[in-house]
Amino acid sequence: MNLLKGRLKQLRVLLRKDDVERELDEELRYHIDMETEKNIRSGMSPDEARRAALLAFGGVERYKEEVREARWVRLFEDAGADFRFAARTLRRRPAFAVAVVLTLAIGIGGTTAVFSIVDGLFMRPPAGVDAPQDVVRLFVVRNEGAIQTPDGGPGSYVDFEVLRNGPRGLEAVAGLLYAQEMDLGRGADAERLRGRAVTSNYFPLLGVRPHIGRLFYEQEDDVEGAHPVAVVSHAFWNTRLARDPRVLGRAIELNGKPLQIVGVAEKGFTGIDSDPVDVWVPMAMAAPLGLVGFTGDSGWRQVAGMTVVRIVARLGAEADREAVVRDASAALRHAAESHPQLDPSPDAILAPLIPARGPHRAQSASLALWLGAVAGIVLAIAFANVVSLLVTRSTARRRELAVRVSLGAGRGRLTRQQLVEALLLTLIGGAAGILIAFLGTGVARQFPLPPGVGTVDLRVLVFALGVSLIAGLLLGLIASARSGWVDPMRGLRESRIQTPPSRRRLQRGLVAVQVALALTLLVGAGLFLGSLRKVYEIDPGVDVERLIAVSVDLSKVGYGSPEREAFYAEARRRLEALPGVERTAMIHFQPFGGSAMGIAYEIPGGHESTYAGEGPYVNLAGAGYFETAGTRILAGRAFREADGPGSEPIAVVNEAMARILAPAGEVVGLCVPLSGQIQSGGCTRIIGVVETERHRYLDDKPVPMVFLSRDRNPDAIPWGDKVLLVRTNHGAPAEPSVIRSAMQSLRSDLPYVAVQPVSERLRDEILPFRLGATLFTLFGVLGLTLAAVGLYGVLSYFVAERTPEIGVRKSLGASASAVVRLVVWQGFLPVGVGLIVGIALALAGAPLLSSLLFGVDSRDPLLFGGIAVFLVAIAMLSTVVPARRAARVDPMIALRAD
Amino acid sequence: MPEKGSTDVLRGTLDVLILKTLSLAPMHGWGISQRIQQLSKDAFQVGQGSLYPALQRLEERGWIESEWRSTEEGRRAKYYELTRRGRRSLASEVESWRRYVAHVELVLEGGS
Repeated sequence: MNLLKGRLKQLRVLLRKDDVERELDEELRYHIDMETEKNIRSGMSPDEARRAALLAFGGVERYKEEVREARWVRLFEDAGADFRFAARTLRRRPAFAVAVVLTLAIGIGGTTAVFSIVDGLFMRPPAGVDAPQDVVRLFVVRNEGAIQTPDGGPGSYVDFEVLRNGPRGLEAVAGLLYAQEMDLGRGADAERLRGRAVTSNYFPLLGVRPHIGRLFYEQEDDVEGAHPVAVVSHAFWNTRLARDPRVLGRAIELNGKPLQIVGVAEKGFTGIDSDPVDVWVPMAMAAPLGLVGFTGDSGWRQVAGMTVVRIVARLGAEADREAVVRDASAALRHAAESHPQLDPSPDAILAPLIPARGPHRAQSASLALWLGAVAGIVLAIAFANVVSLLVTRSTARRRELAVRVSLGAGRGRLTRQQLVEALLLTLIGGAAGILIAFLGTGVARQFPLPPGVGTVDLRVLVFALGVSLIAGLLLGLIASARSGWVDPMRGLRESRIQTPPSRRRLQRGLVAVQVALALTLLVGAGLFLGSLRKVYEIDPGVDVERLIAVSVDLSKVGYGSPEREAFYAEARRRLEALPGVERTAMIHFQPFGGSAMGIAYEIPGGHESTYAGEGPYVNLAGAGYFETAGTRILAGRAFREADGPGSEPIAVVNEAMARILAPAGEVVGLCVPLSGQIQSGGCTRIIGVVETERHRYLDDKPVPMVFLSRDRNPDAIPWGDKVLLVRTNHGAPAEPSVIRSAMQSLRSDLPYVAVQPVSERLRDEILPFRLGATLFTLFGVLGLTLAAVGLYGVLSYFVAERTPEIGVRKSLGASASAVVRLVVWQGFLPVGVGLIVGIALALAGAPLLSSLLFGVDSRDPLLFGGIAVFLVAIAMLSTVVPARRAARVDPMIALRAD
Repeated sequence: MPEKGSTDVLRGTLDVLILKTLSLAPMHGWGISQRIQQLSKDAFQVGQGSLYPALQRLEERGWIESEWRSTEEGRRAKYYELTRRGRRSLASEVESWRRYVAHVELVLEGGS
């Protein structure tokens, strides 16, 4: 009861400040009146009595102040006044205010921009999932056997069924296939969609409801191909189906098969991966739609080695995660007994639903974490600058503070005012920072990011506000701690404000910290720039500029091998007739397509190869392929149009393969027995050697490759794409859209024709390096600039403060160069310390980056040395102006100034 | 004017003196200061300036309550009164004060 009354009273103080003030006045007036009467009674005259009473009381105003301060509500009461006062103070020193606000804006803006990315990647579960914290991904770990997934990989459908029926503690277990592109429709309107095949319990497990229509029925899992149904995403329905509710029951053609749309998924749900899904189909439709690799075999769900099923599970209310993992692993091992070709003791692991927090984090997500650290460092440098500025200023303000203390301002009140001033600065800085964050995320979105990542929304704004508030409180506390001990007498007596030594130490320490942090940032930037240069230096063995890959799945129009080959021959003629096309060729696995197939061979009279993951690989190249791809022919000849079906088996090998086949001698003309799925019996004649290309990925090891003649047997490899490569002209290259419509003009009912510049594939691979180099450099330059400005500011202040001392030195005969040395030494001591600390930090930290780097030594002494020299040069530049100012000090003027 | 031998009330002890004074009867600020002076036989001079902040503090803590009443001479004054919590605190404050004095005494005895 009393407590409530107390709070009510405090509220009243806030709301009716004037009343309370009046009461306080009245109470004190009563006291003085009574004291006066007492004095009169003891024989004083009325005037004398009142004066004595007032004297005994002391300054009335001062005590009123103390009474007021006894109330915590005072803080709020005065906030308005304090803010107005702070604003006035700052307006008087606009240069200071602008410097602080800009510095903070850079720090807070950078951190906020990066936070929006880190938050989006790491903190936000996929939209539309109910209680996402209870949904986990299950991965299977296999360390030996035909399938090896040491970090945890997808399971087979067999594994999925084992897990669905095995461990206790799992409320539900659903399966889904990897990302699949599906072709929608035919002809000019054909599109490529992102689809997923899922088990029927996928939606209920995630808590996703239909927007309209229905989701999948359980029986739709059962018989392969028996239920051709599809669910589309709300976004797809909204943009491509014009929100038409009549689409339910309508058929769409996906990958050449008619499917009936039965429902639209709940608004906002776009799957559980970073790329938004357009359409879902039942797992039993995966094989008929050609989503499970080359088998097209409806029996794939019984094959233990078909590890293409990703597994998600919802944990029960009281599930013990460790027990679930134990149970799941035990169940998998039990089942492994019947699959001798696989690891006999597989394990299960649980991972969070958010992809970036699982075991298969994308390189860009790791990069985002590093950027978080980097942005934090820039913020720290910025903050150090502001502290330095504020400390300098609070020294200059000591006189003002001394005056205010001697006029009776409460110490608490002074602290509060400094706090409010700091908060005002950081809040304005934060607001400016949000603008910078908008710009920064705009830049970040130039790079492909999952939807919703890197946008400035409420959460991000709250983060920026929080950072600003914390920075403000820290600043205010530091500033008031630094001026809290102002002694009014000394403060007023000093004619010139001297910086106490502790403050100088603080400022030098801050410079050292800034230099150390700037060095680590620059080392990071240097490592990424080095990696980027190395990546660009790779000669991929394929000239990717003006090279366009055209692919279309002709099995969807029912073409067999002869019709397909006739179509490609016609397509090549049509495309080569286009202006802007130089030449064309067929290839089975396209360069940088990420796939290849192993091949076994025998060296005549030597050993047989093994599949060691390092090749040799086989590809089927058509006539003119090497000329079109820009791969140099080193010996012998390439394939010609004349190498038709009837000719003897021939092959072109790359240099790496040639070295294996004939380490010393001539490889052209050899006849090599090749085995595996490709050929059986006889040998294949080597007709030429080409340079070693990077085939699957840009940073692929140079692997041995065997190219067989595609014209001799286009079906030698039963799976994979068949790609028509187009080399466009140098001057006026043919546009992809022209190429696509030329293809579509061949047949009106073609499925989607993919036309993609090969360089785009490379761009995706180079992206993380570019992203790292760009952002590290950006933050590095920001950090360096802030640190240089900080050093400049501190030195300028030293010089200004020591002008009289310099004057004395000069009048005693010190030369200008001695004075310059003095100032430069002031600056170099902290810079030197910072460099040493920074190098130690960077040496410790850089190796952690190495998984994101390419071809550079993370402890490259040349880089470290270069950056140290560069920083010394920048530090020297920062000392030039203050040092010259010091050298020009006129002893007469300096001494007279005091 | 404070007489010779009188002392300013230590800040911490003022609270306990106020509570003790108010435990006898509700009283206004001036009355409290007079009463303390009187009870201590003029040995304690309550610095009025510290009296009102102390009253404010005690009221914050919920140990005393205030109310405007008329005085005998017909003026309005703010009367302070001990709350139940205040009464309990007084007991423990007095207790700890006694212990403190006893300890100081022990030290002084031992030193002589």
